[in-house]
Amino acid sequence: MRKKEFIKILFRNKLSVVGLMIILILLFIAIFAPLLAPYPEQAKGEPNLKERLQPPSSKHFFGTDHLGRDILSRVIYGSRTSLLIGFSVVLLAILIGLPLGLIAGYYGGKIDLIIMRITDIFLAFPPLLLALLIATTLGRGLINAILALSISWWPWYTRLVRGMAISIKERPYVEAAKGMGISEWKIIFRHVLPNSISPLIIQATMDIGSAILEAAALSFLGLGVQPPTPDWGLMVSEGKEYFLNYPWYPVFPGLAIFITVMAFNLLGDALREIMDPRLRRKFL
Amino acid sequence: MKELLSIENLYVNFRTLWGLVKVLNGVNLKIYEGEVFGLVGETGCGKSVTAMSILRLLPSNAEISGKIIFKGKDLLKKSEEEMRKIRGKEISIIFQDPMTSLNPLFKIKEQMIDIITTHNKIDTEEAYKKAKELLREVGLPDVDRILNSYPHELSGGMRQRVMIAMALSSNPSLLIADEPTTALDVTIQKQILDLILNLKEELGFSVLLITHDLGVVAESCDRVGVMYAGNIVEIADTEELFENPLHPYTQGLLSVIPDPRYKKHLKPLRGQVPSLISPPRGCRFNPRCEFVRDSCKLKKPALVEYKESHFVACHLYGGNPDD
Repeated sequence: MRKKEFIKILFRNKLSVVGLMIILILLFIAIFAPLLAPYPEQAKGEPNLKERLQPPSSKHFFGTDHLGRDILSRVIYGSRTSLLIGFSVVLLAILIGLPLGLIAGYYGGKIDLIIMRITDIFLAFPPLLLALLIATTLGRGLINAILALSISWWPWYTRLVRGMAISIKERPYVEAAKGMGISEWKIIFRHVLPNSISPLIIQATMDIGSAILEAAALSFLGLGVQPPTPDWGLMVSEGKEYFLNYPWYPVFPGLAIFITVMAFNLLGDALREIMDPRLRRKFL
Repeated sequence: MKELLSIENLYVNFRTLWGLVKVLNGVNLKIYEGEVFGLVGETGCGKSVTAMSILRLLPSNAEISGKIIFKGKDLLKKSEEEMRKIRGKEISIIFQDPMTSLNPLFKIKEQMIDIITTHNKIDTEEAYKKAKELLREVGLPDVDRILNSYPHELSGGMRQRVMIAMALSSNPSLLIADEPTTALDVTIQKQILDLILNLKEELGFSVLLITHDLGVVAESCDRVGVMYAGNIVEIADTEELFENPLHPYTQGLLSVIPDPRYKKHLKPLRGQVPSLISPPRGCRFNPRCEFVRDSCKLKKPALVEYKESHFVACHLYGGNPDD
């Protein structure tokens, strides 16, 4: 598929445009957070006890938290943490899962059996429980939360890539390449990998949203990002005690999580429709 | 004529969940330099397995025994690395379906350069020139445009020509064509066959042409081997085989070619192809044969030279010395 066609189809689907726009805006916000946040030093954690738990006003659009910090500024800074977590969890998980899946699928036999049983062990745990376990073992903190999530995440990618590799390695063009003496290394990287990657891209896009959500859950449970780092999950967690009287405190970070996860899901859905020729037809 | 490839007593079994599938049951054949050898038989009789055995590209559940002598050396004794150097350079293959034989994600030039640089020590630029030359040789116009196209932008016939160009890129001595025209329409079939035959004359390689189409055989092969359920039952010069079929199976095959000049009912062979998990004892054709005798059910007939260069494996023609 050529680039033009890809872009054409992407824009044909309105929801995917919405998803893409939201993600671009989020990236913009994350990159230019210091310029956009009205109170950058408060976002980083400096308390402002004179203005505790103020409702939304022209001075503080999203109100203030229990330490008087501007919630808008903290939500803006929180986008950095969330996107960092989302992208790095998925990237790390792919880095571990993709090569293992390729090897298992392409070579099959005993090596496949071993790799698949290892993934089974990981998949036997409920994902959040496993991440909790790892995070508890490694200790609290941003990096450890990322590690914990990617360690519980990679087996999904291994399974996905393995399944694709198994189907691709039987394709006639792989047979033909073998018949013409192309080396195994080249067959894996030129034929099997590029042709198995599109479902992975789709899955990864949607997973960025889920990873953000799970990281928020970890923070909520006190095992992820630690205060005073601005993080949406952490803010919801801290805000839950004030929910009844000061609802703006947990609601705005919660909304940020919701919108971000939705945007990645919309984009992932659209990518799936574009890359699956049977679904693509309805846009052409 | 010099012998190029000689398959001796080739047995191939596949281990499956349902049992051992005895696909090749002692195949013997010889291919000489510069000839077109046709291998005919119905689906599942082992034609493609024979081809894949020559290239040693059988799946990992295959058990293989016998000898495949190519230029004096047994291919079954070569290491995987040595085999990889033979594939594409000494022995090349083209497949049935040109629509799926090219990687959809890369341009033709990338795929051709890949293959050319695998077997020749030249840089990308020279490989590109060589690719252009090859495409011209297989009769494609506007080669620069084709090289810069993706496979889906070309027609089936064009893709098969590209496959042939790739297969011939290192001047192989043997080209295995596994049903090269089955997926193409009739006019393109003729063009592709003619192309293979012309290139063969020009470059002097031998062809192992696998097909189930007797018309293709009659038109293009010097000699033919007929396969049935994993055995070669008859080998002869093409003309001799069509005029003088000896094996009851070959006779049956030829009698079901419709002749538009006469309105007569075709006489189909009775019965079905046997299961290769528990094939019939003795001659595998015996349950369907009109001339079946007791010895057919006991002993597998050997391939013997009944007339000059006409081989047949059948007890009717003394398939066993002690018959």
